[in-house]
Amino acid sequence: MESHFKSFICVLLSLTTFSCNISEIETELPIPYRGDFLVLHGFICQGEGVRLILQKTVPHSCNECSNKVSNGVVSLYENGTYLFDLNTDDGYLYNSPSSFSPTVGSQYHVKAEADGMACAISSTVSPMQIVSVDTAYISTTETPYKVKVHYCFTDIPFERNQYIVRILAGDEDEFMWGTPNMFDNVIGDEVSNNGIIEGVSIFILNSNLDEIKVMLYHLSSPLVQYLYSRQQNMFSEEDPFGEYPVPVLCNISNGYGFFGSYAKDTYTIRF
Amino acid sequence: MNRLKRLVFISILSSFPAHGGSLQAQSHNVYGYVKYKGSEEGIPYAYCINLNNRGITYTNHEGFFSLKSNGPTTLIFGFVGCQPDTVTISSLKDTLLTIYLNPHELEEVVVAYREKLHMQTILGKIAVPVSKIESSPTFAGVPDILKSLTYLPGITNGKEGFSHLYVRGGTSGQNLFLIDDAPLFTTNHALGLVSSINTEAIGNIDLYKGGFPARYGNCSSSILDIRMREGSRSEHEYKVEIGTLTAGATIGGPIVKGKTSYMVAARTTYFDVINIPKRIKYLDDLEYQLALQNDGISMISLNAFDINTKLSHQRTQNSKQYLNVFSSNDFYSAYNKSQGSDNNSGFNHHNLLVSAGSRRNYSSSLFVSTSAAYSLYSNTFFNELIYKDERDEHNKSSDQAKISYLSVKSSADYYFSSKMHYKFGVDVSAYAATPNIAQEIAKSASGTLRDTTYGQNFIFRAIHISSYVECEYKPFVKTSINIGLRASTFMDQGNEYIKLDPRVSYKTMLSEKTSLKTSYTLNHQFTHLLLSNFKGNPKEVWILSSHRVKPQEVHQIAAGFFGSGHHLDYGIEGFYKKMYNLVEYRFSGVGQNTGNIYDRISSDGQGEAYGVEFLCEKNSGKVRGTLAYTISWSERSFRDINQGEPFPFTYDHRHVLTLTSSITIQKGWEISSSFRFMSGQAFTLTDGYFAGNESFESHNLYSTINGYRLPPYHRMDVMLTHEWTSEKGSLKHFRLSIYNAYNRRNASYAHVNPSSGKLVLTSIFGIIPTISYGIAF
Repeated sequence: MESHFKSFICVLLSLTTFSCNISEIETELPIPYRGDFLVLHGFICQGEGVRLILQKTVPHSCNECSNKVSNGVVSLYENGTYLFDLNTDDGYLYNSPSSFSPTVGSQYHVKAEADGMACAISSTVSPMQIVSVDTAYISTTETPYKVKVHYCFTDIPFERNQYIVRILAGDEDEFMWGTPNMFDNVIGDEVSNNGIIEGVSIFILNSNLDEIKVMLYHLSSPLVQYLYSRQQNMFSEEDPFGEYPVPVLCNISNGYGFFGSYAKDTYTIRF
Repeated sequence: MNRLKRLVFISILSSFPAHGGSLQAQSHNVYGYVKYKGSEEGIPYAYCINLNNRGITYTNHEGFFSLKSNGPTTLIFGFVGCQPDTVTISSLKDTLLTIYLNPHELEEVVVAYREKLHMQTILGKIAVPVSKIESSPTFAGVPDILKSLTYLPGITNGKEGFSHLYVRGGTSGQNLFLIDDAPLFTTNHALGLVSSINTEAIGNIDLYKGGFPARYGNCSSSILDIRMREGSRSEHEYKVEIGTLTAGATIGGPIVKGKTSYMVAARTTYFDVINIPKRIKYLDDLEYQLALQNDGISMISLNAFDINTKLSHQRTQNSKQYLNVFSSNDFYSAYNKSQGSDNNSGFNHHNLLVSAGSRRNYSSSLFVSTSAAYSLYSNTFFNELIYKDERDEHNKSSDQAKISYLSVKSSADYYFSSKMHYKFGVDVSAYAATPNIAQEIAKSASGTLRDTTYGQNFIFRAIHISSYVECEYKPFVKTSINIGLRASTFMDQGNEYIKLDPRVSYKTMLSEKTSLKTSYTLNHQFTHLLLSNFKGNPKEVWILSSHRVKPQEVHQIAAGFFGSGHHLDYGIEGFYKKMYNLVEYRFSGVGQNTGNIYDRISSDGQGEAYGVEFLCEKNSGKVRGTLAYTISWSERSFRDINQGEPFPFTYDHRHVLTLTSSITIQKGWEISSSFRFMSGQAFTLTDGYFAGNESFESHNLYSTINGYRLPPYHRMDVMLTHEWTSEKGSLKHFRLSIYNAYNRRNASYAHVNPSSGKLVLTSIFGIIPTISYGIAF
């Protein structure tokens, strides 16, 4: 009996160790390409007008393919009425004239066209109201190279408000146009205390600095969803077990990308 | 018959006649219990045939039956695996019977449904025999109820290796798993390789794919009503089983002979045994430091444990009480240590389920059950990163979701006449759900950088009150109808939903062995499951209906033809299902989630599923088998997903074919196999690429959700079982199980290789042979 039991254990361990075939085997297949489509990324912002990048899609397998479009034209509409074509020097970056100031409450959308490409139209967006930083100051921590930046602003009455607070050195390069980033921490209005929102951020101080900028972004809900989708797209594509990859939110018909709105205020702390 | 053991004990008690007047013209009730000899456990769905009027009555879950008779009568009692017995009642008064049937050895093996498919009124109901689960080849040789149910048409498991259930195009959260009247919120166990329901502890299983009777609520796709078995009230029994993946033990027996019994069944994995040599090695400090300096130390830890405990007490002939406790726990972690940093990530799942109840027949025609239940499910995903270099930082994040349930319910069976049987009841439940508590802690030598908890204020509570009435009516000999209505009130903080769910099933016998059935049901579900997979681990979050999330609403209509003959049971059934207010993550549930979960979901989803199912079974003889085929379609649409356009449900398999067989080679030797073919599941494939710019990172583009199909899936499993009785009288078994016998590398998932720009299909599970050994004494 004892020898039978020992034999059983040996067989059990052998089977477990050597016979199981749990391993990854991969098969590669080409990915179909849907065709060239326009890709728009842009924002409308009080004080900054409309700024937009126009490109096109490329196949996965083509590293040399250019994503630049030919003879691209981007038009701006207000409440369904054509306003003007955006300016461009290189067919890549498009801006509204410096005299243009979007109106809160109006509905804007853009339409993009290029040679050999289907016309792409964004959904309508409304410029966000600027929310100002009421106060901001710094306090020191135990280490000389880190400070705490305290800020405070008043939440405006609205159905739903979401914000990003970013601390930058006075001369620090921002992301292009200082647009909200998917790694920024979004603050929702559920944390307001009788309409007042306060926060603290840790900032690593360069001894040569004499000022810090506190930037408060007031975001539209679709823009928050877009930022979140970019983050989830990155996570989900790293996770092959996911139900399905999360597409980056797109509000462009016949194309890809996102046209959103935000408002920005900057408070400078000098010391 | 001479080779069969036969023992019947009849106790007859006479009570006062139910009505005055002439005894010859009066009807009287014959009622009582059908039980297994020795265990005193009632036999559900045992049949009772009244030879006088050819009427058939079935016992309820407790083995209780009641029928009316107009005079002396002859009754035949029987059940699968037991010798039928005939009893003649000459008394004209209400008569209480207790029939004891002895399980015996038959000339041939019969593994049959307790209730023939063509005989039962409710369309879509299957009384699953536990023996069928134990004889099905399974993953890692562990009998598993959820994986075994996939032999039935219309049912799939979802991703390979997981223990979810997808029934007729529904989601896994639309299934209701009841263990002795308490709901079980999750079934995944040991990374999904087995379900958390231990087959050893199961007494009876009823599966409903459609035609849901009114006594069930808060579900919309399927119901798995499981009754845990009781310990024997006459003698102690022990069983131990050890296999490649799990080891388990079951003990049971009398506490007070003939009155009170207990049953305890426990299982555990022992994957961590593999880590023991490494752990011993690193007890030596020198070895530990050397390993840290060189490649670092990596270890994966996995432990899954579950335990079922049941106490039952037969207070009187007519009254029984029970207490059932179930608990399961899963812990997984993967850590990497080096000189510069330590990283530890993983998850923890926990289930706790407690139910207690009393069942009693108050008269010859009234049977009442009262129960209280508590169920808790929680999961936590964590990640910890420690930098030991000049950064000297400790970062820890965790994400927890939890749901709890407390209920009191009472239900009654009233046998009004031989043609009419009522069920009615009331249920009061309370829910508390915390879908997302996220914590982030970041500390360094300079102090605490961040210590924030999100979502702790988002605790959702609700009260759910429901009542139902159900009637099984047989207007004619060949016709029966099950009609019911369920009324529910769901009240969360400041919001109230009142819903009515009509349920109808109709059956007509075309001949003695064939029947035609049809059904319509409307179901409302007030709890919603959000399911995401994070690095291979399912993350399940339950939320409640509120002013932002309406209750799910599912209409289902079905019709079918069923028959029995030439040792075969067969049926063909068509169904159509329309779903409203489905809930899905707008993007995904992965990653660190903060804030209000209702901001991240879409709750306006609609779904549609329809198809035809065919089933043919041979359940007796030396060769037994099942052939099941389903052709079906299932799609979804959400306003915020796929630009509002309909898209195929992920587990929309156009064709599913299952073929199972069990062959008794000779006494004590059995070989069983199952073959499964499924059309490829839908998946989302990128069909374009955005190369990025100064502000926006490059990423894949998707024109449609689930627009492509993986290659078809097929595999064969084989199992050899040998049972024998030792000299000391203990029953032993040995199983050799081979999962994926011909090593078909089915694609488990697909992803894009960023360097080659090609689609990569990855297969994980190849051939997996396992063995297990068990002994019962």
